[in-house]
Amino acid sequence: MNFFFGIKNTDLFSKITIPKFQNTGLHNNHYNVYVSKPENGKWLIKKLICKENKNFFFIDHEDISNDNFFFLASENEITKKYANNFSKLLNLNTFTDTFPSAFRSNLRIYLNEGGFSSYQSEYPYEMTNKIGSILSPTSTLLNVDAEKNLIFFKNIFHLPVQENSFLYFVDIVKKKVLEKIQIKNNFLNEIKVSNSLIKSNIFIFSQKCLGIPLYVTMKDKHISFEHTHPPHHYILSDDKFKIIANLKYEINQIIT
Amino acid sequence: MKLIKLLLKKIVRNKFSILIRNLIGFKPPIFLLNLNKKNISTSDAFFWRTDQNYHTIFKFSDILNLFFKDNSSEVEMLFYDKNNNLIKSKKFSNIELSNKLIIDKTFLDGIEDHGIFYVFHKSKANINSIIRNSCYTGYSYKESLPSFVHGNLITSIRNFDGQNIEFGIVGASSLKKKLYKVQNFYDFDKTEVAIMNPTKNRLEIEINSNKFILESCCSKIINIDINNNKLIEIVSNCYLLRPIIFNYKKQFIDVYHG
Repeated sequence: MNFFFGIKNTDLFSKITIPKFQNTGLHNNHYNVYVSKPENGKWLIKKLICKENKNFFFIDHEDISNDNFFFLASENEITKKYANNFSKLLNLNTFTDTFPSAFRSNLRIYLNEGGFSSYQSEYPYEMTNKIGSILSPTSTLLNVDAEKNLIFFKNIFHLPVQENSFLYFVDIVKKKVLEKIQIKNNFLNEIKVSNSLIKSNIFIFSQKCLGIPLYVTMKDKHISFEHTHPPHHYILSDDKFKIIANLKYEINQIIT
Repeated sequence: MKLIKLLLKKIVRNKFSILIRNLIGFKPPIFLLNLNKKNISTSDAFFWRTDQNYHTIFKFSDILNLFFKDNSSEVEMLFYDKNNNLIKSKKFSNIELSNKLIIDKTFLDGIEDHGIFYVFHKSKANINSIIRNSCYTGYSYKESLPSFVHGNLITSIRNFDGQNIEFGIVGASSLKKKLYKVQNFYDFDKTEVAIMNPTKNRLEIEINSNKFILESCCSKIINIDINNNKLIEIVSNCYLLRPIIFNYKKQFIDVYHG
């Protein structure tokens, strides 16, 4: 099961287009869109009334906040599986579990009176059950020639809590922490990045908070928006998890 | 039990099993890649374009240094035109952890067109792993801020010593056509679909009302007519034919994987 999320920011707004079909063409017209966020130690889950046609749900920026996210489900699945116990996010259905291509929404961001940029976006349920760290380079998707560089870091955690943790900018060659930023889970964290942090050796590293890092650059009213791959994407052999665990251990040594 | 599992994994992954699974359509592998192999550099197929006032920016990582502490590795990029003719190769040594290359008509000796390039890592180290270069390509239209997309699909493999190169490793069904329906709604001034044949076979491809043949590893960018449902539907025998989409509205563009 996949979740979908948007971005709210002073410079830009976002829209989410959720398909009612899989990449193979299989449709499900019985599902609704639900919006969820943590509130008073429970998951608040509501059916979203939004624009739709026979193929898509269109979620407007007014329905998007940095602490909410969306998913497809039937009323029956919500009633039966949650059974009035909203203490943990549940894996309600398999319609969005597709392979080889993941089931994705289109997350598009717009600059006020300017350009737009998008990517096919999803947050897999499996990720919500894990506590881990992400490692991602700053210079591949940020741009020192841009007027503004931002990183958005989205976490969805299965428990309805918002706890703080840290995201570090680390020079992995000099083994030095350059900046430490407080982030929280079940939230879309926004980080403004100065040019001094956009260098070949500098990576972001989150401690005890998995998530998706999204990179936004802006210049002359144009905008670029993309996410980075997790490190295990770059190694195909069975040793990938061991190799990445070793690298993350090294970085953990730098930040502690 | 663990030993049996390991043995089964080895059997299922070998080239012969992969070919059989692919032929009969039983749990067909997306990539015809033997994961039992070692010291292999795999590459996605990256689109370059220098046509219509575009230039391309490629950002890539030194994967061997980052993950395996091999700081002596080199990178070689192979550039092909849309008809899969090799037009340029370029070697990079002393690379940084993150690197940038500008691909414009000057770099390509005056060529204003589009095509595919691949990135392979070379090393003398024995790391016993398979790595994948799936980095980021930015498309700048009329000198504007480039719109970046990540790598798409593994399509080629090469040994670390630079020998035994293989292209077109994405699987195709011999029996059944596959539909790939892009999960987005299209309502733009113009939409272009960039598609590459990542298989070893000649493919018959249908994108909305456009039908064409694409030979192995050839590529095409087409300005498509969006159908009444505002959808992009791709039919071919390939198991995963995921395009790159260029959307235009006023003076702005958005490039992403469909």
